[in-house]
Amino acid sequence: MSEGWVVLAYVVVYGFMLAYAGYLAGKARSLRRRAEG
Amino acid sequence: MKRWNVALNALAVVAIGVGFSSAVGAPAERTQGDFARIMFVHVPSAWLAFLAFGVTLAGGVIWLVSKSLRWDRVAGSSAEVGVFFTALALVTGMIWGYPVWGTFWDWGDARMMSTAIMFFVYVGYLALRRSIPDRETRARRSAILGIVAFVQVPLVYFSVNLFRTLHQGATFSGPDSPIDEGFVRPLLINLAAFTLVYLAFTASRTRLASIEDDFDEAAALADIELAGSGITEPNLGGESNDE
Repeated sequence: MSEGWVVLAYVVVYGFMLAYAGYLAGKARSLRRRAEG
Repeated sequence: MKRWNVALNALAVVAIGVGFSSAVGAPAERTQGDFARIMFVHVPSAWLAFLAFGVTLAGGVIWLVSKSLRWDRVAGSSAEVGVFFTALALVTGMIWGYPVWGTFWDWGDARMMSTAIMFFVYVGYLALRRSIPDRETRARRSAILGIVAFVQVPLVYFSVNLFRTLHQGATFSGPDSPIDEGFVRPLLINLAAFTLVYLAFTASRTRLASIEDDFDEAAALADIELAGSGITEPNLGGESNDE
């Protein structure tokens, strides 16, 4: 049972990092499109 | 994206992998067992939040002195990443607290409440930045708030010493630290990895903020009505303008 909470904590941390990296990549893509358009 | 930026991102990804394997390889703690492994992501998240808000403070001060908007962008970007790490510290703390303390949240705990207040104050800082279109005004007001808001950081850090509530004392506080040696190495490795992630995120966010500012400036210039466009041409020929 203890592993479940530990796994959840790590999934949350790495998941949030991926999500924020995705947000930054999406923002960069939209700015690039705006520059081209 | 510049080459050093790509290298920094790649380094951060590798460091996170090394940090994860060091956390998995760390020994289980005597009383908490595997739950103590949450420390390797919870503590670096909290430290990086402090560092990020320190950079926001420094960026604000440098802007006030130099008036270089670059430092305002650094301050704003660091605050956004700091809010991100504060959220991580809060969530991982709650996940750790439930199996160990029997509760996700304690409204009377000094560390939890001060961290939550710090989180919302810096969310307010980000909201303030978005609400002011003029770059100079935005930079000045957010620099002042960034300096004032930093007062909370030492309060959050020392809250475990100032108040005897649920949260334990400092995990790692130098050579006389109560932490076992087996935990120090993975903790420091993860701290280094999270610092690289912070640098990668803040560098990318600052670069995007710079591009956004260029667009906003171009749009603002395009919208400016020419001075005197409302004045009609004078009638110098003596003829009436009224047809």
